[in-house]
Amino acid sequence: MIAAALAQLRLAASLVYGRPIPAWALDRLVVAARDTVHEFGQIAPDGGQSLSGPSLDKGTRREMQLRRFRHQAKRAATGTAFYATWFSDRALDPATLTFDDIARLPLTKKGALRDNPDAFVHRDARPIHRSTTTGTTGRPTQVSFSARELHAITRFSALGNLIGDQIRPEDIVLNAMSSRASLGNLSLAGACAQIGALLQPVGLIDPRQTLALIVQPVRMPGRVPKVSVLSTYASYLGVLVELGLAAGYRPGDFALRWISVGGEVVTDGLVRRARRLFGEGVRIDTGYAMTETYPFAGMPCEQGHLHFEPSHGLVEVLDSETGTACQPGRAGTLVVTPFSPFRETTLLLRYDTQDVVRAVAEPLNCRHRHLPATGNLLGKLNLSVRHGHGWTYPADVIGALEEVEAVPLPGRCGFWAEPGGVALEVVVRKDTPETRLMVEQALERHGVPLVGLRLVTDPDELRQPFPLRCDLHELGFRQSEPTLGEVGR
Amino acid sequence: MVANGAVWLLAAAAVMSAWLYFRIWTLTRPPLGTVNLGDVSLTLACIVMLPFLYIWLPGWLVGTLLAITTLSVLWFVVEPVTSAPLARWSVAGGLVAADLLLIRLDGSTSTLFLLVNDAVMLTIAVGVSNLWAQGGLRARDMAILAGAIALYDLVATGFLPITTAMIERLSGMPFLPMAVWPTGSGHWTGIGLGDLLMAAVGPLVMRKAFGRTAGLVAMAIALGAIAGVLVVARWDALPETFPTMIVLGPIMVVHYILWSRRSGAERTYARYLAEEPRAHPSLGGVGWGNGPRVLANRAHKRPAA
Repeated sequence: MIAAALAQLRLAASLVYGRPIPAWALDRLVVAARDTVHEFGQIAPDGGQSLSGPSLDKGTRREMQLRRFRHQAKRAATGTAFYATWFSDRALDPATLTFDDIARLPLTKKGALRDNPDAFVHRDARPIHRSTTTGTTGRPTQVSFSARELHAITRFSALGNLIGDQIRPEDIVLNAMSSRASLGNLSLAGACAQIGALLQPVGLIDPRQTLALIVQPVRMPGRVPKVSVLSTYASYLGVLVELGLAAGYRPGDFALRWISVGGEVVTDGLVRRARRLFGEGVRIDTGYAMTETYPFAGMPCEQGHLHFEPSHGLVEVLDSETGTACQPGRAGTLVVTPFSPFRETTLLLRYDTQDVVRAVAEPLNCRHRHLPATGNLLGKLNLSVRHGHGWTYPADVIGALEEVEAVPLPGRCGFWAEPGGVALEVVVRKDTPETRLMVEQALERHGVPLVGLRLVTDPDELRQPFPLRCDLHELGFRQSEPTLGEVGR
Repeated sequence: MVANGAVWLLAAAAVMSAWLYFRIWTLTRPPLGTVNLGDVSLTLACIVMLPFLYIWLPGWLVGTLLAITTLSVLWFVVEPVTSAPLARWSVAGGLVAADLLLIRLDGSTSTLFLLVNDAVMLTIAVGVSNLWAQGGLRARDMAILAGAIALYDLVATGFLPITTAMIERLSGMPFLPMAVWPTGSGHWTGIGLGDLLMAAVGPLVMRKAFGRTAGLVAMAIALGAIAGVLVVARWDALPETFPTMIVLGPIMVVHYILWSRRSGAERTYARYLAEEPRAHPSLGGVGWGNGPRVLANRAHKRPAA
């Protein structure tokens, strides 16, 4: 307990001053968290505060973030090829930046990182891992990490999962993410190893096989009897739910306790249908993270906000057209500056994620109200549609479609701007007038100005299919053997 | 004989109060960590170091340290009992103030001061034993602590004058770390706070680890050992300062070994609560203080300073 207290103090010092976090402190905290879960069953709700430091008022938070931004900007200006010219060309001194100066700094675009990833690597860093994004929105981007960063990522992941009661030592964790999502996979694998949970990394294989693995009994001492944690993408979860319900599975067939779903927009319809299959008691959490800014991440709250730790990075919501800060309620793209000590190798200042969220009005009254927040993820900007009435985002469309039972999961569709609004094509179970009416009403409820609707029953009939991560198939030499009828029933 | 009986009753009150407190109130733990072997090692280091500090540090500094530590422990013990901050501070602050005031007005040998000081020490023993037991101290680690203290006491009191010198230094100060009873003519007999603490924590940890019976047996062992020492002391068969842990420590170790062999793995605190739920689970909710370590641990019979 004393050692844990010392480790917490050392971590707090690193968070306050932006200094490297010693490995011993994180290791000690993980051991303490594991011991606490073992002895007491769970960690008290205030456990998270021991990792994030004290709650700060807005003024103190701004002052701290400005100091941390300057520190990171100085490192970027003196240590990376990209930002050295960035600052010298503008005759800016990173050590004296103000918030107004920061707002005038240009954004770091995805293309710049994609075209020359090494120009963002600090010259004193020693990368040992270069992660590539899955490239769902274009050519993959490469981001390098040092051994210390990876160590910290896995330890923070373990701590987060233990404190949040997400992964327990007795759990069996099935990871159904693309094997190319190496950073997330490393993070989860490292967390499971630290926690002592059993990890089954299966990738995005034939969903029938994944379902078979989820219901397969496991007979190991000290383990739960079946897979208890599932980590996957929203669309792949949709595929599993659709297949499972069609095959007649019921909640009693599963032992899932927690589903971590991310990488895509997670809709209420998906969550509702997933609970129908896996049970009302299953906890389904989403969050926001991306390789480029990892481990900077957004935590959802009960009111649908995404909250960000101010000591981990600076988050801005900028109007995609004017580049200025969005007013509350307006949608803009997330612009993120990850701070040290969480980001020491690939330095990014004002990185334009192209992920769209709404700015939220403060003060907040949710459980994370002391943390900066945005609205929930609306989707990628380049997958959103600009039309005469404004913007329609993937969350609007997918959210509406997945509410409709006649639309199979995942909601497969295509949509584009047409004069007066949005034209849409969608895969439905049956093309009937009733289905059409339900789809139209759902879209209307979600504020989609529909000017044309085409229903199809075969995904291959979609002309402009919206990209879904469940289609990042990892194929075998031949189709998998088990059928749903044979598996676990 | 009366004084020895009274001291035994004080010890019994501490042990039984700790037992009741354990079953009724919950001290809030730090969110991360359990009381483990590292903490036991630190406790032992403090036991070794503190006598030297008490002897060498200026009296005003020792008194101040004792007052601050005592106040914080008392506050944390009282906190789950009442939700009113005023009541918490009144009890904790009142006891500390009374201890300070009475030693100043009546001196360290007055009966009233000794009674108040006893109340303070009993409360500390109840609080710290619960901090350890509710903090997840394992029976194995407690047995290690008990065995190590017994060895230390044998050396520090049996062969070296450290303990006696420390008690002489502290006996004129407030927050004397002993529960004592006056024997007349400015003399008293008493038991050290460390002995009280180990006697109180044993039943709690053994109950958590192995069940109610193990806890009750531990309680009988603790009170029996103290009674034995006091009876023998009455016959003047022991030196003036005799550490009870020399007797109690080895018995606690043997008791742990027997239960460990009988029951196998220890229960965790979560399993203990699941199998023996409290009658009033809603009671509780406090902070955690760094309680004083064992300050002195011996049954003591000596003239007051």
